[in-house]
Amino acid sequence: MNNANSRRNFLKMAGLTAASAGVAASAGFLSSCNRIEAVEGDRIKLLTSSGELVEVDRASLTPAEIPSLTENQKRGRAGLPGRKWVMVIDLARCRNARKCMEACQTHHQLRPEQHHMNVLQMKDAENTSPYYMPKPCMHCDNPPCTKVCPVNATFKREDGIVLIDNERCIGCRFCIAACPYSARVFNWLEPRDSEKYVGVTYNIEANVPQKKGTISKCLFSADRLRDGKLPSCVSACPNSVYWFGDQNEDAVTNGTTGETVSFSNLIRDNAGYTLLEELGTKPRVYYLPPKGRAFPYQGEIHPS
Amino acid sequence: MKKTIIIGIAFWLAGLSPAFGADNWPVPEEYNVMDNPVEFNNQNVRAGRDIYDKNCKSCHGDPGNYNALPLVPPPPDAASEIMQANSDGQLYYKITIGRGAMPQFETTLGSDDIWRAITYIRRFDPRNEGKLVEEALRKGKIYALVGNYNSTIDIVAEEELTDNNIPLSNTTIFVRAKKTFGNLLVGSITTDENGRASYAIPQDMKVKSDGQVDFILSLNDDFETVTFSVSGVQVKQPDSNVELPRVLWSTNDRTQIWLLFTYFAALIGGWTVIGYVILQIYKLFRLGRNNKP
Repeated sequence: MNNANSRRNFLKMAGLTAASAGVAASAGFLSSCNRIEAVEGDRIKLLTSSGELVEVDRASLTPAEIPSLTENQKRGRAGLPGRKWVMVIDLARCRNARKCMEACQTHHQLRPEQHHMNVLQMKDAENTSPYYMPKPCMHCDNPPCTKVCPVNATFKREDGIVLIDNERCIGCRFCIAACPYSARVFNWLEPRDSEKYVGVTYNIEANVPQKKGTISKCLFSADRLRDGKLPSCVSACPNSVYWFGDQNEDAVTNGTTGETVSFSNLIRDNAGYTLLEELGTKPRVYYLPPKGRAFPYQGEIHPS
Repeated sequence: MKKTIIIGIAFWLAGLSPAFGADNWPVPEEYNVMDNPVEFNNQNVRAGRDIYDKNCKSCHGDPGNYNALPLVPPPPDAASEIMQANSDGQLYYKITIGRGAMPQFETTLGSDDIWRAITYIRRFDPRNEGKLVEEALRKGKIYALVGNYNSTIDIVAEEELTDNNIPLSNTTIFVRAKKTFGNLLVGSITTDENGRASYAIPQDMKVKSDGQVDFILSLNDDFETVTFSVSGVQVKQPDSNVELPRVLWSTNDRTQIWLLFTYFAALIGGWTVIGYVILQIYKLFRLGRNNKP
């Protein structure tokens, strides 16, 4: 009886020792994976978050704390607390320079034919003058697109931004059909530079890396807003077209000049309007009419 | 034949000349002789600088720093020879009418403002070197406190002289509120003879959702840049988070309660009826089996 008991104890102890040794060994192995081998003079190419390719010495690298996919998705759904982002587009100042489109396509890994931000050539009636109209997503307060999504992949955040989660998107394209502003694009082909983004954790706030067979859309550069920066298109414009800010603060800042003005005064004094407001979508993007143009209409797409 | 070729080459070179940076922007005769009606003095140069910074700087860069945008054709620096070679009238014409990437400012700026901007550009003309005696900037200091239960900012301003400090009387102090991407001018106030002022915070001021705002106080251009910030003034009660309304056609977490209730009531009701029918059939079956003759 005593003998059997001690054998059981012995086996138990042996098992425990082996298991803990295994855990310790695997922990050591894993931590060695985490470290980066330091070899002098060994230089590697890296892609920064702003999309530039840089070369750094391998010895100076330390592993970064990257939020996991689940964390990204969670904070991406919550949004920035207490914010209500708003954009004002001054049509009188647009020259069709298309710097906004370039910056956007670089930031969000879009092919040349895919547009989160698109500059359209408009003419309202027979005798009126044509004008250029930059068109992002309107980030509606009553968005038709989020309501048709069968898998809850696209959603409205508390800070007003409408986002898309590519990890949930099944590519049914109902939202494209529902959006009255044609703000959404579909990745029919492999996304631009997809080979550079292999293994990068999906950032829901920039919708990067893009995924073939899913939807993409303008996100007001939510990742840049989290860092306290203006959206890519707003910063890239050379002609002071874009104003961006927080409606709760009633202030918008011009991306070109850095001037800050009162949002309510700006849209009241300049007869600001929203697109297709009769649909009840309540857009968060306001337009100022193309009166007192900074540039004459040039009638062609400016080569860039 | 030879002549034709030479003429051809001459025309070809003439066509290329803009690519080499030669200025061939023709200006109508009447503009060439125009004079700048704005007097060349410190005040107008300063006003011109504000206009330049707002309208021109984004492409032409800071004068003298040659940090203009790399456009084609390149926008010349305000201090460059290309720019200064223009007469006042030629500058006025080019600013007013615009060409290519250069906006037509006749639609957005008044002629006075355009002339003031030209006055500012002329400050970088080597011929004007030493003409403008810059008054030495005065040294000021601002102190401020939030008073009266967060309804006013009490300001004291003084001037630093070599041996002592004296109160700054009758001086304008600008009050700016810090916003997410920049500072918004919300008001200005003039100090009394003791260098004191009390700025009343507007009660309807729109601020961040935590109800707090940072104020930045500054003096005018006669003084060296000096700011004083008053941080975290509680202007109003904090907001609760933005409510996302429940709408009819939406996913489960945002649909209207009555719709969810109706749906689940119908679902549960339907299954209850089916279950009840099955139970009754089972009872009949039991009855039939137990009452076998």
